[in-house]
Amino acid sequence: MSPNTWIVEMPAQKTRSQPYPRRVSPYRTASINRDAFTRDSTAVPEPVPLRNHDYPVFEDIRTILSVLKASGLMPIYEQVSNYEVGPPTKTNEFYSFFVRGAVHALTIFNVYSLFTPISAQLFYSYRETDNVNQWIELLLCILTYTLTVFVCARNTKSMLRIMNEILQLDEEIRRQFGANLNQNFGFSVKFLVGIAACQTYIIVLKIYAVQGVITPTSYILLAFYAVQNGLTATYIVFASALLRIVYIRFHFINELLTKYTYGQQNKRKGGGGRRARGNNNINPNAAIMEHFPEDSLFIYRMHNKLLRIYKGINDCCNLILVSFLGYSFYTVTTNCYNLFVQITAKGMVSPNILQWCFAWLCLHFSLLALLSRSCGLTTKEANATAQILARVYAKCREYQNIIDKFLTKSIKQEVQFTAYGFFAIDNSTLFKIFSAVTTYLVILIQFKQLEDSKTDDPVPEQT
Amino acid sequence: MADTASHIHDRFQTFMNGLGDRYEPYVRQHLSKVYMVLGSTAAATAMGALLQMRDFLDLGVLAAVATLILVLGLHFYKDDGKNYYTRLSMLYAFGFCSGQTLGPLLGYICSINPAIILSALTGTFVTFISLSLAALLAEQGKYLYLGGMLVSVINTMALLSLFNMVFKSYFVQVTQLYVGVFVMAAFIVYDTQNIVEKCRNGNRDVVQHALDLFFDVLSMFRRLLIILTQKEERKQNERRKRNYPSNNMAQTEDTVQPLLQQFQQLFFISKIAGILPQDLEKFRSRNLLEKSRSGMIYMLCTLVVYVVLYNILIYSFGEEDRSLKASQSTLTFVIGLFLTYIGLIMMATDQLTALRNQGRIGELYERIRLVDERLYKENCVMDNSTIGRRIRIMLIMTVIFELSILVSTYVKLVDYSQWMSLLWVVSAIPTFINTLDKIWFAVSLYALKERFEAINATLEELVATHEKYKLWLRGDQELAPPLDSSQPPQYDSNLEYLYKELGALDMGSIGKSSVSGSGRNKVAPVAHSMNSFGEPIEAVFGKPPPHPLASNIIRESELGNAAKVEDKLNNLCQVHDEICEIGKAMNELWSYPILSLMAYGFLIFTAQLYFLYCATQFQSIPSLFRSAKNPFITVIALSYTSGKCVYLIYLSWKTSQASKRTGISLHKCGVVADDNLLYEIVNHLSLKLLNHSVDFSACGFFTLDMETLYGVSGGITSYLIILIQFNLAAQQAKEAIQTFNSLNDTAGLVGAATDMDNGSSTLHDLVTTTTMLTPTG
Repeated sequence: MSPNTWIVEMPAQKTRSQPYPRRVSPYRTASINRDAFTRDSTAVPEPVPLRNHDYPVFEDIRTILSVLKASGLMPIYEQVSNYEVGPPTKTNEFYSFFVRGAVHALTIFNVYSLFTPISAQLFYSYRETDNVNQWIELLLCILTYTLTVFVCARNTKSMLRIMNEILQLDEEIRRQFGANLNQNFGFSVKFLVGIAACQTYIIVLKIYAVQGVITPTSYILLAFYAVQNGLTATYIVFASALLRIVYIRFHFINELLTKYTYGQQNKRKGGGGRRARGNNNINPNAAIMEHFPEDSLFIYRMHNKLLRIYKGINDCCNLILVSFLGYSFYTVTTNCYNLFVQITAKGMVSPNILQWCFAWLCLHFSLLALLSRSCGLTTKEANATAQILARVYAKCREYQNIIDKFLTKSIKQEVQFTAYGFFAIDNSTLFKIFSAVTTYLVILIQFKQLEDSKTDDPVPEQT
Repeated sequence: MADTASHIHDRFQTFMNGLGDRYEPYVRQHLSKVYMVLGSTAAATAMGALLQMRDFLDLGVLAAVATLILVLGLHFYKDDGKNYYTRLSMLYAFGFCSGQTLGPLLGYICSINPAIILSALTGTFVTFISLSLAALLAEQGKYLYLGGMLVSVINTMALLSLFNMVFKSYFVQVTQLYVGVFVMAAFIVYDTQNIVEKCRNGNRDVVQHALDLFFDVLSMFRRLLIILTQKEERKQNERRKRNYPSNNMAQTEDTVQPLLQQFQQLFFISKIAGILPQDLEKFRSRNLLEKSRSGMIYMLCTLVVYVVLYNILIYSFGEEDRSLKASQSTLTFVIGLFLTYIGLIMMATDQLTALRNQGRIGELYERIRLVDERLYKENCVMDNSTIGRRIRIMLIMTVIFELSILVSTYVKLVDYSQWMSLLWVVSAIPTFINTLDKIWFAVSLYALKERFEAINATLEELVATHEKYKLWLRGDQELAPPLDSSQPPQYDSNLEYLYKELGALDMGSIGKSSVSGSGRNKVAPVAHSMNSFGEPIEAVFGKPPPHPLASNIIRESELGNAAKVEDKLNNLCQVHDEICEIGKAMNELWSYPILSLMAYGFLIFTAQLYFLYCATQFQSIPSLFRSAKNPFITVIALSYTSGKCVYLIYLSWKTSQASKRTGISLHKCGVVADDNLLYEIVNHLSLKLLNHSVDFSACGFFTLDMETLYGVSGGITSYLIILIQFNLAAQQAKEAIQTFNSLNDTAGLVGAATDMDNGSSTLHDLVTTTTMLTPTG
């Protein structure tokens, strides 16, 4: 466990502030400005006082966590308290260790069988280059997964630290605002099911496509291939879910800050004029400016913590993301190419290969979209804090100084989710990958055409 | 798949051939002439009505008299084979005059709801087309029996209307209207068959036949107009009764003129084309964009119609492509297929996005109006009239481009002897609709840019004022000019700005009195140039009043007073933020259309150039890209497409530049004032400004700025080079094979039969081995 200065600070905080319901959670009222997330506000239950102790942490991403735990990618941690997780017990640690060892053994076996003619029957394909393609694809998959396992094993501790930090953050938010930031992470479960279905489908297709009796080695190879793919994909979904969690926290503090912006403050004063007639109460969305210093300190601290968590997640996933992006770029390109070849091949369209290509494309595209979307969202939300703060207009010079401090700090603070520093991951990554795939595709197709025009043309109609 | 396609193809062919087979060539020719004359007469009518409505030319009663005379003239001045052109011009004159008589009615309807005209026109048009087709496809002379009945009905109606002049029964009047519509519809059927019959019997009087049909169409249109207008009037009366009291409340005094007022023409055109679903009437009366269900349905209908028409177009023009497919390289074929549909995809994106956004666009303009109000409080002039001019210029450019591409392609490259060639018009629809949609975006963006610039200008003006003030102070101390208020020339150099402001005051007050008329919405530049007349001078920061006499007028730089200027700067900063937010919202609304436009622009630009290259090499190209056969048309098309994309990118770039410039202007204020307190304020605000970001992007995939433009042009070049190189290589390979083949052939011819067998069998072997190598998978 990393030393935590935070907890030491707590008593001081408790004495300072009133019991939690003093502050109003921004989620209690439906958010106006960010209508994309009004859905979230319904999902949040009313503030509940501390429940009994065995309230499980990270309930919302439980499914995916259990998958990862079982496969040894995540440590099987112990829940120390409601807001803390401890390192795994010895047996569990040993289990993870064992699973990883098995995985590496299998990998070595697979690599061996790939280089020997044992696996030849799996590469039935129609062109020599395609065989090589599939080969490379398999190798890349193995590489990605091995890397994932390695990185995960190395990052066990930092992963636990990140989780603890998130939990502490939750605790403080809960204590101060009574808000429960649990969200519905249905998408992760959906993705899990989708990945499993896709992989099974692909394997079944593959088995059907292979001629002759399949040797047990091939079965093992195939099964392991599917598992590798599935787990890598699961890890990507997990990373997206983590980002999503961070995003929700960022969103929370942004909502908090929004109450102080000039738009809301004006409305509070009834400056709108037209709407003020209906409710002579003050606008519930606006906070009282006197609380600003206190709240802003809280927000700054939260923001810093969140940024640290964000960086931590990025550090943990860095290598995995790079290799996954490379792998999926390669897969998408080859599958698009195969698809094209199949479609334009005269008279011998094989539905088997079509389905195979489509399954791969769907899987990878949805994963890429999910990843880039959650990265983009989180980055945007993290950057939005400064923008929202810029909308706070305080009369008092002190308040202005508070604002200035944060804004000055955030000038050079580039918040980005990078793939090992090579490039930032957001929507534009998707676009870049897409355009690169197109370029390669055009070149590949042209080459194929050249090949065709050399071989095919003597036969057809001499016009 | 292929089965159904060929089935549909057969059906379509039998449908098209049905018309062709049924009628002899001369009848077809005659019919097409008649319809052409009919169409041009309708155009003349429209022209007459338009001129009358615009008050360019109003013949008044003369027109009615002229119609009578012309009809009689046409009737008695029989066709003798030589006077065709005289009679044709008489017919056109008749059309024009009836348009003139129609003018007042149309003007009245316009004052109620112009949409009526549109629906009546559509109704008439659709009815006419369908009934004519029905008549033409029906058995020969099947409906001729209608003639007698119809004439008697008409007679009865005429008699009844005579009686009705005395009795004034509402019921009879309404019945007459409705029955009249049906009778005229029946007349269309009857006349169509009658014309065919007459033509077969040797009567080829085009003008007379066109006149018959024109009569039917015109009376039907007129009746539809009246029916629809009555309905609308009734509706409006009810509404007025219902919310009369609240009407007064709604008319709050607007201090600024809404931006949307400039969008009138654009709105009408887009409404007709089916780009915007919003309510026409609300827009007319109150400049509001509001949701409307009927508009939505109309839009969906237009979308479906366009898609169907476009597919028919592709189908009917794609016949050559299908035969070409075998000889063409697959890539060219696939790319061609994709490119044919990208226009359609783009149009559908535009329309569907507009449907999705229909509630939100109105809000956007409302926010712009609020911004205007705030700016106006800070003495910023927002001159919206340039925007109206801009819209007009853009519309004209669009029409010119579209028409020139369409017409030149049609004339030069389309085989216009066939019926189907008219469908080529459809090929212009997607781009036209897309351009209209983009004009909305571009103009709104331009308005935002203007607002940014207004903020910057206000800040700069503050600086300039202060500089002059300082100059004056210094000048006063050093030179001590003889200040004699009785001599006007003495203070002209120092008081320039004051004159300027006073001038603005005059203009502003004029603007206020006629807010609705002129585009300017500024009122007087309030207090600050005046207030020191009466108020005592507060020497806040130790700037002593330089001269008791002059200070009365001149002590007038706002930047001298930090507390006062803080408010103003704060306000400007908030407005800046709001504009940035509007920009973001706007970008979000249009993100998918912009993405599709950029994709379209990139693809079409590359494709057009590539096909131009193919055409110069005498290779076959997809038929929809036949404009690439002519370099001149290609240049026009390319400049049109690229102009659209580049202008949007440029404008987005300029807008974000303008928004960033505000910080510089703000700092100038701080520097020129040279005052600690003010400097602090400026620092604080500029930190805020730093966080107001407005970057325009297409769905976050790429930002719209000059860098992207550069990247795109690089991309186009490299793709072109790749494509052309491969094309060259493929050609060479083909040629090599052909020479190989011909060599074989000659060898076979010269040599013995066994040799030839050997040669071909080796070739055969080669082929079989390659096919073996290519497993079925």
